[in-house]
Amino acid sequence: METTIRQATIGNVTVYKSEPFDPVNSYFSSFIGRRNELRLITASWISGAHKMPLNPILIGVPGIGKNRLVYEIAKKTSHKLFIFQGHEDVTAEELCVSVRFGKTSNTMDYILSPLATAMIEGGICLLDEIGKCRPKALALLVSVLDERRYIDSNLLGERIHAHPGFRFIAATNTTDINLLPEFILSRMRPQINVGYPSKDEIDDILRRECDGLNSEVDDLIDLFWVMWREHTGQLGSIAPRDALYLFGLASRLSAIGETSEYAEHGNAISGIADTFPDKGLHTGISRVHLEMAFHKLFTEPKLEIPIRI
Amino acid sequence: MVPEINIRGSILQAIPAIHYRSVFAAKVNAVCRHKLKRPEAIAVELGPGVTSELTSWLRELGCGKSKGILLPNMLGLLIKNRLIHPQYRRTALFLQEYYRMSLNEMPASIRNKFLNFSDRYMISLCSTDSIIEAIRCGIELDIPVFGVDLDEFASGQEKDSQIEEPKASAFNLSQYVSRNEKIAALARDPYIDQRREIVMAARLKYLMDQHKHVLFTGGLAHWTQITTLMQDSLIKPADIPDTGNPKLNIERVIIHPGMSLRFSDNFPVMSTIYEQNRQIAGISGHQEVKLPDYQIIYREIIQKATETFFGNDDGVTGEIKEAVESSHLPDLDWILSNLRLIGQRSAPSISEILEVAGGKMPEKFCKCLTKAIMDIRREWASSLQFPDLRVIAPVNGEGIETGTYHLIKTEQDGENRHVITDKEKINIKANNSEQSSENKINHWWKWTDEPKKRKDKIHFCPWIWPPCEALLYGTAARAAKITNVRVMEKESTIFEGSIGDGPDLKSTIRSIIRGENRIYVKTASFRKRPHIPDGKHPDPSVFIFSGEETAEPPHWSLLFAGSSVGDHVSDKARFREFCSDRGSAFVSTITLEQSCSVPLNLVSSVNSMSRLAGITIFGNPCINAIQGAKWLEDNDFTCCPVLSSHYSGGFESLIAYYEANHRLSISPEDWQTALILFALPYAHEQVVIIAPEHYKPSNILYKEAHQRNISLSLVPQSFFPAEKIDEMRNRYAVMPMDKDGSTFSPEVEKALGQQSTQYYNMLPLYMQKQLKTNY
Repeated sequence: METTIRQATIGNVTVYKSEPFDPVNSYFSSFIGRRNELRLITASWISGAHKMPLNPILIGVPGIGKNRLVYEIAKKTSHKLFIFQGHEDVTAEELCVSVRFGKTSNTMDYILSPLATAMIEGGICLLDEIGKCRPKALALLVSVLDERRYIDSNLLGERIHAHPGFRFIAATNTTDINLLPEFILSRMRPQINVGYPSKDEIDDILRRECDGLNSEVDDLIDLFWVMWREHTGQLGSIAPRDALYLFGLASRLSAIGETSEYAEHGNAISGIADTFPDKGLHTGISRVHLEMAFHKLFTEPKLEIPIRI
Repeated sequence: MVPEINIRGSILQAIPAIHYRSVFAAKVNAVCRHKLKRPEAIAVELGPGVTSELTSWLRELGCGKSKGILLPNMLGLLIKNRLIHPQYRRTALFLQEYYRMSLNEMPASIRNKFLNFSDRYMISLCSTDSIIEAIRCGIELDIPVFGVDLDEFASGQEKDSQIEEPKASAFNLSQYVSRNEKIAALARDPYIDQRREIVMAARLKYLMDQHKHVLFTGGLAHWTQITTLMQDSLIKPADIPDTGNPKLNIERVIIHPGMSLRFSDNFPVMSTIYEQNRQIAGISGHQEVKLPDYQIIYREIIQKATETFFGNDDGVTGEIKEAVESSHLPDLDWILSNLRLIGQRSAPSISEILEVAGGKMPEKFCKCLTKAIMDIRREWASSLQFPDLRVIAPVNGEGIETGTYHLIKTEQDGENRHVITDKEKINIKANNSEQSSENKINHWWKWTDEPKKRKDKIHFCPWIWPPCEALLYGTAARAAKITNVRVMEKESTIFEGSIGDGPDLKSTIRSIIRGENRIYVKTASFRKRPHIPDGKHPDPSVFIFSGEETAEPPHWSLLFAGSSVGDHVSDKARFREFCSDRGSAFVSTITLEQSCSVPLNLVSSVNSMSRLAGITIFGNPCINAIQGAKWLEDNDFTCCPVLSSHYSGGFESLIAYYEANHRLSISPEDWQTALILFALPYAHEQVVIIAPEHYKPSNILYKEAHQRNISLSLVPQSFFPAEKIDEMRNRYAVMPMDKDGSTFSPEVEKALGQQSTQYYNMLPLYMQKQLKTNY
C-alpha cells in the first residue's frame, strides 16, 4: 500500500521513496556482545566541521551477525535504516533509481533506491552483499562515498545530495571481499572484521532464545557444545544464525512430540506457528530433539545421486 | 589524600587501585615516602604464599639495596590452580558423564572453555602495579608485607564495566575512588569475591590490632565491600599464615613481550617511565612520581610510527605513501579520536589502535606502529638475563584455541643464542580480546630475543598414518584404471583439400613409387585408450572434496617424500648431485586442509589431525622414506616439485617454483584449479580428478592440459562409497618408532583401531612390493 508520505520531489520530478526496514521488536528484542564492533562503527560515523563520516565495511562469514549489528546501531541511534540487497544483476542506475509503469496509462513512476532514499532522508544505508555486485554497477557509488556525497541519476536527470545525517555501511562475505574493485575498497574504510562470537556470547543468545526453559537450557547448551566440538574440533566458532536454527529446529521437533519419523508429520507443521505463543516456544526440548536437530543440520550426509561411469 | 579507616586508634590507609595503572603505584610510593604517613606494615590483595614468594624474588632482584634498580619488564609467577567455580558444577558433571572420564583426564582446552578453568594462573611483576610497588616499598622500608587475600580461588566469568580513566596530571585518589568504587564493584563475582573480601577484612583487622599504621592496596572493585565488612563486628580478626599454602606450586617465569600487554599499563613504555622516575621509599620526600598522560604517549607512538614508515624505503611505493599521508593517516587519527570520545578516555587502548590500523592502514604501517608500541626504551626481560627461567609465550598459528600458551625452556648454544630445548603447552585464562591483540602484536612484531629453534638437533617428524595414505592412493589407482586416456596421435591421410599438419613426404613418395600418385598429409587426432597404471611411473591425481563451511579456514600444506630418502637411494652420488643442483625437498603431496582437534580417545597417540578439502598426489604414497627413495630413483627424481630445503618457505616457495620452472602462475584463491595445475607438469599421460559430480574444470585447465598433451580424466566421487570418501579426508599425523616412518607402535594401532598395513592391498602391486621390508 502506498501513501503520499512515500512521495518526494527531486528537482521537478516526483519520485517514490523506498521503505525503511524496521527490525521487529519480537525478533530483535535484545542484543548481546559485539561491543567493540559497535564502538568502531559509531566512531567511524562521527563527523566534524571539517571531517566527513567514514564508510565502514563489515566483513565476515554468512550468519555471523553483520546485518544484526547494523540493525542494532540503527535502533540505538533512532535512524531510519534502508537496506539495498546487492546481487550480480544490480545495475549502476538501479543503485539510484528505477522506473515502473504508472497506474495511469502513458505514465512512469520513479522509485528511489534504498541508497538514494537514505541520502535524502538522512538515514542509514546498508549495502548488503556488496561483494556480489559487479564493479560496473558500483561506479555510481564513488561520488557518494567521497567528499562529493551526491549521486547523479541519468533517469531523473538530477543530482541527489546527501543529507548531513546520511550514513553508509556495507557488508560482504569474507570470500567476496577480493572481488571488490579498488576504487570502492579504497573508499570503504575501516574494514571491520566480524568474527565468531565467544562461547559465552552464544550461550547468552541461546539462553535468551530459550527463556521458557529455565534451568534445563544450560544442560542443553552443554550438550550442544560437546556435539559441536566433536563435529568441528572446536569450541565456539559457530555463527549465531546456525546455533539459533539448531535450537529452533529442536523446538519444533519437540512441538511435534515425536522423536523419530518427524517427516511424517509434515502436515502438522503449517499449524505450529499458530499454536505456540511467542514466549516459551522452546519449552519441552529434550536431549533427543537437540541431537536429532544437530544431526539434521550438521552431520547428516548431503544427498548425493550416485553416478556410475 | 588517601581513603582511611580508623579502628580502635589504628589507621588503615588504602590505595584502592585499578591493576597495572601507574598512577596508583605512584600513590603507594608517595605514601611510603611521606615521613608522617609512612606505614608500619603493608597489606596487599594477594595470598600469603604468593606474597612471600614475590617478596623473596624482588629481594633477589636487588630491591631494598641503597641504589635503586629497574625492575625487568616483564617477569611473572605461574601458579597452580585447583579450583573450579561452583557455577560450573552441573557442566562438570555433564562432561564427566558424556565423555566417561574424570575432569583431570580431559584436555585442558575443554576444561578451559566449558568450566572456565585453567590449571595455572599468572601474577606479573609489573612495576606499575600498586601491589608490586607496595611490596617493593615494604622491602625498601624494611617493614613487614602481608598477603591478606586467599592464595587459591576459582575464577568466574569476567564482566565489563566502564571505569573513568585515571589522569596522571590531575589525580585525586579519594575523589576518584568515591566516583568509581560502585561502578567497579559491578564487576565483582558475588560468590568468590564475597568470600575473599571477608577474609581480607578479617586479616586487615588482625593487622590493625598488631600495627598502628597499615597501608593496604588492592582492587578498587573490592573497596566498598571491604569498608563495610571492616565496620561489621561479626567479622573477627583472623591470623595470617606465615608461609601461606605449602601446596601452592609456584614457578618463576619470563613473560613474552607479546603477552605482557595484558599485565601492563595502557602502554608498555609506562613501566620504563615509571621506573626511571620512581624514588626509593627509604628516601623521604613529598614529590610524587612524575608520569605523563596517556595522550602524550599515544601521540609519541603515532609520531614514531609515521616517521619510521615515511623514512623507510623498503617495499612501499610512493603511491601508497601518498595515500597514507593524504587520507589513511587522518582517517586513522579521526577514528581513534572518536573512539576516545566514545570511551571517555584521553587515549585509545592498544587493542583499539591495532584493530583500527589493521582495517585501515597498509601492513608496513601496522608493523611500524606495533614496533613503536613495543618500544619500551630498554630491553625486554629475556633468557639472556634469566637463563634459568622458562618463557611463557603465545602459540602462533591457525587453529589455536584461546588460552593456549607455550612454556619454553631454553639453553645457550655455541653461537651464544638461546635455543629451545623443551616446550610445554599450557592453558591460561585469556579472553578473546586479549588474545586477539596478542595475535596482532605477534604477527606484526618480532622480539629480537625470541628463543630460537635449535639448529643442530635432528627433528623426528611425525608421519601420516599409513592407512590414510594407502586408502587415498589405492582409490586414485582404482580411479585411474576406469579412465580412458585421451591421447593425441598423428596419422597420415590422403590430401582432400585440407593441408592438416603439413605434407607427409614419406607416404607421398611411397604412393608415387606404388603408382598411386596420391598426396598424403599429416593430421592429428585424439583417441581414447584404456590406461593401466603400473605403479612405477604413476601419474598424479587430484582429489577435490565437496567444500563444507567450517569454523577454521583451510590452509595449504606440503608433505615431503621423507627427509631421510638420501639414506635409502642406491645411487648416492647421483642423489647428491641432483640435490646440490635442484634441492633436496621432494614434495609428494600438496593439500588444502583444515586443522581439527584430536578426538579425546586419540590424544595420546595422534600428534595432529586434519581434514582434507583437496589434495594433489604426485603418484606414490611415500608411506615411508624407503618407498619414497625407490619412487624418486625410478623416475630419476623428476616426478614431483623439488624445493631447496624442507624449511625453504613452504607454500610460497612452491608457487615461486612453478612460476620459475613451469611458467605456471598459480593463484591459491581458486584452490580447485590450483590443485590440478600443480599436477599437470608431472603427468605423463593424464591427471585423474576425483571430484563431486557438479565439478567442472575451468577452461584454463583444459588449455594447459592440451598444450602438454595431457588428458584430464574426471571420476565422480559417487563412484566410491561415501564412507570411504569421508574416511580418506581424515589425516592423522602420528609419531613413528623410527625416522623413516617404517614402524609404528602397537599402542597407535590399538588407538586408531586398524593395523598400519590396512588398505595396502588397494595399492598397485609394484607399490606393495616397495613396502615389503626385503624389497
